[in-house]
Amino acid sequence: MSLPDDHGGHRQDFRPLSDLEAQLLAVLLGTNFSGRDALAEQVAAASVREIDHNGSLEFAPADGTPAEVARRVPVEAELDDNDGVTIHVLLHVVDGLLKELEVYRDDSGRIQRVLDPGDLRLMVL
Amino acid sequence: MLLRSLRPNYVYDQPEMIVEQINNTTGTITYLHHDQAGSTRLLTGSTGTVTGKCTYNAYGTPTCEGTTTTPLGFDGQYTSSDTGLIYLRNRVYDPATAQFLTVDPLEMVTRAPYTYGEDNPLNRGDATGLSSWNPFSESFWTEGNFISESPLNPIPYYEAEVESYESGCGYIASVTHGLEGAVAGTALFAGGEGEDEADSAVADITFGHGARHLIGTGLDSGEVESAIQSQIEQSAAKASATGSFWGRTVVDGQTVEYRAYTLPNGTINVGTYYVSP
Repeated sequence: MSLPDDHGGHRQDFRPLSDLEAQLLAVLLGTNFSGRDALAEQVAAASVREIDHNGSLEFAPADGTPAEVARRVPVEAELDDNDGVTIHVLLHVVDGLLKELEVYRDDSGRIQRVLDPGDLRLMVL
Repeated sequence: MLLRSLRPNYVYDQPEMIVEQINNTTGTITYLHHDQAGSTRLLTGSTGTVTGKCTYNAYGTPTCEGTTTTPLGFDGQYTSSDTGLIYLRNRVYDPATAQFLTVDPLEMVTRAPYTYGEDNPLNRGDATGLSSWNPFSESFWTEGNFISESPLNPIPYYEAEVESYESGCGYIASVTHGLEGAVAGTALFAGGEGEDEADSAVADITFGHGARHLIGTGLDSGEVESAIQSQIEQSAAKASATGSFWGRTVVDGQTVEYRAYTLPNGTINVGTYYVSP
């Protein structure tokens, strides 16, 4: 059975990106891949809300220009948590639009550290 | 183990090697003899009389003679008598063109979307359609990743795979490319699909995120997680070890990609999964 995906039992309202979230996304979109520029435009106008205890973000539905990405997760990154377990950061794109910034640990445990954008190891598949 | 099929019955000597074919209509027994790469070279009857021979060119086109035939030819895998295409578990292969018909699910690892055995068939096999395999060292070159060290059992997959392919799906159960070389798991053992495999064990598999990614897809999380678990159990049973890996399975016609990691206690945690277009 999957972990519950709610955040404290209730949905938050959509809000602008925090500085840290914006920096994380900037790093993810700082590498070259198909559809990147359109996604960057969408990020500039994005509203988000947290959807789990790790700080995964759901993007508000938007009318931006759809990005021509090759995969649902066109870019991702990983970094090490304080105990060495790998943290994954996945950018989900559905129908060309930002859908989710997913954050999880390999063991699905709770993340113990701040996600420093400088520690991200980027991957484009 | 005797595995029943709609047509002949087949007897395995090892989990991956079929050595006997029984004609259900006549009761005629045919023994299959293989070369080092697993291709069927010789067919003999119950008295030891040679009833058929096959040779293959480097890429698998057969030349056969004799009174007895078997669909299990090149690489010991199922060959369609109508098309000549060979079902290599995860993909369909055309020996006439030396190309697979669909992209290697391990392309990101192999960098070879359509070629057979890295285009080096004299030294490498590709019996699973996933990764180049040296039949003489019996090891995949992608060491440390979640890849079987030997081909999967063929017969349980054949009919479903043929049906899937003919209905327009290129493969039914592709799987597994490792991203990281780390091997942190323990060996897992799980039952195959044969009815008479009673003493199987089930891998301990947990799920993290994923269900929320099914919203709007019409898929049910229970159904998807069951499919993922089934695939991991089958694949893990063939792997010497697991670590961090990906997989892909098809549920109700939709491709679901998942990310998994083997915890120190041997449990495999599927961190996330989502429908991939």
